[in-house]
Amino acid sequence: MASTEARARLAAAQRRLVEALVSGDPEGTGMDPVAFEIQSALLEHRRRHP
Amino acid sequence: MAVAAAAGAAAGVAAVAEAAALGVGIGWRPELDLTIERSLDVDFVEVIADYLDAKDLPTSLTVLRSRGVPVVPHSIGLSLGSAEQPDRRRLRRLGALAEVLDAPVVSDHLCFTRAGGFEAGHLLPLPLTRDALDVVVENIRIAQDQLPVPLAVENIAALIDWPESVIPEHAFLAEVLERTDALLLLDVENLYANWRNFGRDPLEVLKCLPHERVAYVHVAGGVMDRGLWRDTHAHPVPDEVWDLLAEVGDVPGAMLERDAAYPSNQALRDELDRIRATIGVTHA
Repeated sequence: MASTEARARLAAAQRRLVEALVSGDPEGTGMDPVAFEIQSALLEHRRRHP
Repeated sequence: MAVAAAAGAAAGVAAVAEAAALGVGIGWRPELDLTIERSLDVDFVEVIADYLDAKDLPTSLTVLRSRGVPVVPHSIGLSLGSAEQPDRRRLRRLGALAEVLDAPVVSDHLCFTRAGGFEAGHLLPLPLTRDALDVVVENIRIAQDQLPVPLAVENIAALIDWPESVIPEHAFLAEVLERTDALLLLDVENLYANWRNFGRDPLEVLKCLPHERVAYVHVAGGVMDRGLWRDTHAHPVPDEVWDLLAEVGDVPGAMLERDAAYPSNQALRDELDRIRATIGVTHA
């Protein structure tokens, strides 16, 4: 069973990543900036062309 | 829950036997409906479940079903790796589709597509952590309890990688399968992508995964973009992916995914023939 705390920690991490991807700012994610830029652009493209 | 889990395990084993008849298939897309119906010799098709209504199926799928061609619903929206539990309404829709199509199995990805109410519209990788592992295992069990047929989970291609990850991808995936008795939808191009993007050895991954749990295999193409491999489903299958497919060995089924820049019917036939020759699937 996943604990409530595990779900809360995962929720916070996933929310932070998605917010960063939507903003296009990789600062603080620790991720490769080029990969982040491509991923962020793909998300934005999907948002504009659902 | 224990009874449901046992039933799910039994259903999973039965599904492997059922899936033995899948053979060689293709991803059904509206743009390919007549091509598949009239010009391609396929043993099964996979459909994107999220775009279909069980009460209003496309004519082409009805025709294929009337010929006895199995149709596998493939979901892109359960978000099994989300911190939230899977959406019951989406599960009911997927289950209804599986029932009306008499599908042997349904599938979705080991990823998350929504967080905090935001729909990403993309398959995002999970942090390979103990927290994420426990959550996705529980979410898959919830999904299995709601679905009328066995569930296969697919390894995804990723561009970004979480610095928090501490578990190797193959160990993460193997533990998910072991703890849930889910089947595996093995995507060989995604293995290739994660090798190009993160250096994860695809042969090592193949060695560590439970081969007997493979329901079927995805084969697709992609493209290099600024030093990274993008899983586009819009390019020919590269030689390295064909080589990986050959390493997989005997599997119940394998299929071509093509989502854009559709080539000629002959080019599709050539790739399907190569899948059949590579994995040695006989015509179902």
